[in-house]
Amino acid sequence: MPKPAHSVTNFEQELRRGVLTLAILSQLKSPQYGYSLRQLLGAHGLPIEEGTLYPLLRRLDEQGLLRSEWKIADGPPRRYYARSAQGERLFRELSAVWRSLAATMQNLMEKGR
Amino acid sequence: MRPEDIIDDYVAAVAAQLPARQRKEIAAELHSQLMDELTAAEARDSDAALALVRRYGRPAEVAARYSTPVTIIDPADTRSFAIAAMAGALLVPPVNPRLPISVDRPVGSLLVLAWIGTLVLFFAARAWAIRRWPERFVFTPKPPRAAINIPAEWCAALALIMLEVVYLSPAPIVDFVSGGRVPADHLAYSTSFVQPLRMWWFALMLPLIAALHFTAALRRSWNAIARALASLFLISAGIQLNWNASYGDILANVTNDLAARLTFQLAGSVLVLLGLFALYRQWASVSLPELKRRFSQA
Repeated sequence: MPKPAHSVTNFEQELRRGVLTLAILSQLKSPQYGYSLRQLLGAHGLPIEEGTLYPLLRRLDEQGLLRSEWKIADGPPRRYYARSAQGERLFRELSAVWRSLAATMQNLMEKGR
Repeated sequence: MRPEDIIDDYVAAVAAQLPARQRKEIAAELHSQLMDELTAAEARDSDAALALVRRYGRPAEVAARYSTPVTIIDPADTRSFAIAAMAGALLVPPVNPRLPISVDRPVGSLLVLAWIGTLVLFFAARAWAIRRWPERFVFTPKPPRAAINIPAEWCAALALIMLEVVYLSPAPIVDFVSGGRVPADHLAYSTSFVQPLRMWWFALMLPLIAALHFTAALRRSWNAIARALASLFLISAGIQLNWNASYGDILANVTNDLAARLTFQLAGSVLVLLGLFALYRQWASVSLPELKRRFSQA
């Protein structure tokens, strides 16, 4: 007997997880701190849980894709992140992959109707 | 409790599980991020702070998200680990003082723990090696094997029949083979052993297993039921031997009886393990020709 299907939310979360890195890189042309980036992504329709976003920022920083520094600007000290040169290259490459993937998916979904 | 205290306590719990070189930096950043979230919350009270940290996750999970967690046993190896742990536990000598080889309960428990500890070390080293040299652990196909080895089936059946003959009358056979150098009475069974409930169950198992091997050799294949029966008979025969080794004397000659009981215990344990291994292999295997046949009919 087949197992009950997962809820749509689970599949949606999986889809969103796959595009997180690209979404983050897209918004870090200029420096942002964790909370402001989360608000920015949420305002563009991509809400991300804080427990997912903040550790991911840190990992991207350690991989050299972001550069970060502590700053004090209108409030307590915060760590600001922006794309590094390596992150810039990755952003361009991933953007091309995303466009190609989106076109392929569009094509597949239209044929699947 | 003040909301700030809840955040502080949470950050401390996460920091305690982080690698030392990252601890201070991540703790400071996490604290700053959580305080930003709390400041933006509608109600800046203890309930909001508690809801925030609970949404963030269990401290150990959060700490793991900040770095690649060290895996002691690779999740992909968990099944092999559990099977190896159970198989090893079966090899530990039993806690039965009536058997020639037995251990005290604390020693038995220690041996099981030592085995599990050894396995943890082995699997940890294996997980490390797989991460370090992934190319050495890629799948390598084995040469195809015949589904059944007919000569081996005939040999197994004949060996079982010979074992049956030796088991039923060891003294005359050893007397004949040794040319009279080993006196027959040295291997004569005791009156207790030749009781129907002791000697004959094992004697019944051997021809049954031999018959299954003969049938497989004649039909040039094993079917699933026959194979499972052969394994179950093997396990039953092994249990019989072990039970006889613990129940009482086997040979009338007291000097040789200990050696006979020891032989029964060791042979019985080997049979039980072989039977369990055969059952496991049968359970874990798939017959591709059968699957292809079934799917082509569907």
